[in-house]
Amino acid sequence: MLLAAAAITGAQPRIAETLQGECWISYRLVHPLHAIEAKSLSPEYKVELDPTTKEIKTVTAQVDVTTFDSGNSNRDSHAMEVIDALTYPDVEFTSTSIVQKDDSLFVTGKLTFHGVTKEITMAGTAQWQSNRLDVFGAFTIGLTEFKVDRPSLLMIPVEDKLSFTLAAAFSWK
Amino acid sequence: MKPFLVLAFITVAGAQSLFGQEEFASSLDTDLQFHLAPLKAREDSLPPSVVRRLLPQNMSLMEKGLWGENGILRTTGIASPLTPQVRKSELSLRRAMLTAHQIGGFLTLASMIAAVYYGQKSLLDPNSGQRNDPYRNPHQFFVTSTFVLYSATGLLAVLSPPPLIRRDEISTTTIHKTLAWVHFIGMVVTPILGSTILKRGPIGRYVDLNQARFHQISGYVTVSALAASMIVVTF
Repeated sequence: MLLAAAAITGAQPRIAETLQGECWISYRLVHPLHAIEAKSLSPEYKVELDPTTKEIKTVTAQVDVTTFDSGNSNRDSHAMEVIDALTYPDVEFTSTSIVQKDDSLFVTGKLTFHGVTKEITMAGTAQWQSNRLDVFGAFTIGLTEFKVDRPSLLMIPVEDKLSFTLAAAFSWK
Repeated sequence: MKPFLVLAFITVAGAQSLFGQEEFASSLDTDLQFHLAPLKAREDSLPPSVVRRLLPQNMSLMEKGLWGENGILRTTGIASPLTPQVRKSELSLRRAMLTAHQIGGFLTLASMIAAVYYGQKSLLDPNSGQRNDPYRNPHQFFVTSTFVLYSATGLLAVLSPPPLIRRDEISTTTIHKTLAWVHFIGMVVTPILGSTILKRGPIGRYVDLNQARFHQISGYVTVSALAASMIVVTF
């Protein structure tokens, strides 16, 4: 009877605990003179998953844009100006569909950035362990599709493409 | 008439008020704490609110004195009191000033290279120091334009509103600012050394080559520091 109860409760999707120290998200922006990479160590991820079937049910994420650090705060401040961080301080994501095949993972959802919401798909991997899930992923957006004026250095604007990579780790009991 | 250069910067240090947080809870009596408990529990259940700073913590003395919460521009009414909307406008102003600073940097470098070029030509000319030296006037013209452009370009950066974020770090911007001190000193020293080159002798004016050498080296160091400070921001 206990086993049956365990099986029933085990089959319930649950909110996994985020392992904050192991989560990050970074962006890469290319300027003809150099590439810029900035990382945030404080994204807030939330996943609802079913450990028994190894399925991720829903994903939400939120990042405070001011936490991205490229190693040059003057450049980061410029980035905050162009994305109007005082009006839109967070980037938010909510999944609408999740496709898993073996370790491969495709998460489609609504990304809200600079006050504009667009559908994006993140491709990545999901590595399941007995009570831990590690996710690595990447997706790319266009600055202009999110109504962001491309920042420039020495009057030369950056490329439109903004590439994100991320890592997330979750655990459950 | 010998040109003489005097640059003065007035640094205004803004007074920063320090407000200590009062420990309200310890001063409340037990009964009141009891009545506040449900409210506190509700607050605890809310997600932690993020305190967003409008000004960076480590502003320079100039930034604090001009653009700080109690900075001279706010107390005199030139800038509006600090609000998110006002800060957005200031960041736009900062961007415009720094874009102009970049353009000014290119123009200053071009003018400085021209001044160095004609200075070098003048020094090598057999009529060096004489009124018929063909390179003297172009050198003087570009020295003057360099001074005007350099001052305007520097002020655009120094007087611009502070950024949104400033961390303690060593970055290309730190190197850019360090090199700015080098070319600033060069911009003060080079014309002073230049003013000591021409001497009067028994048969008229002549160029003191030893003095000219110092002026020449100072000019080359200054133009190199300016070029390097511009190149470094591209990394």
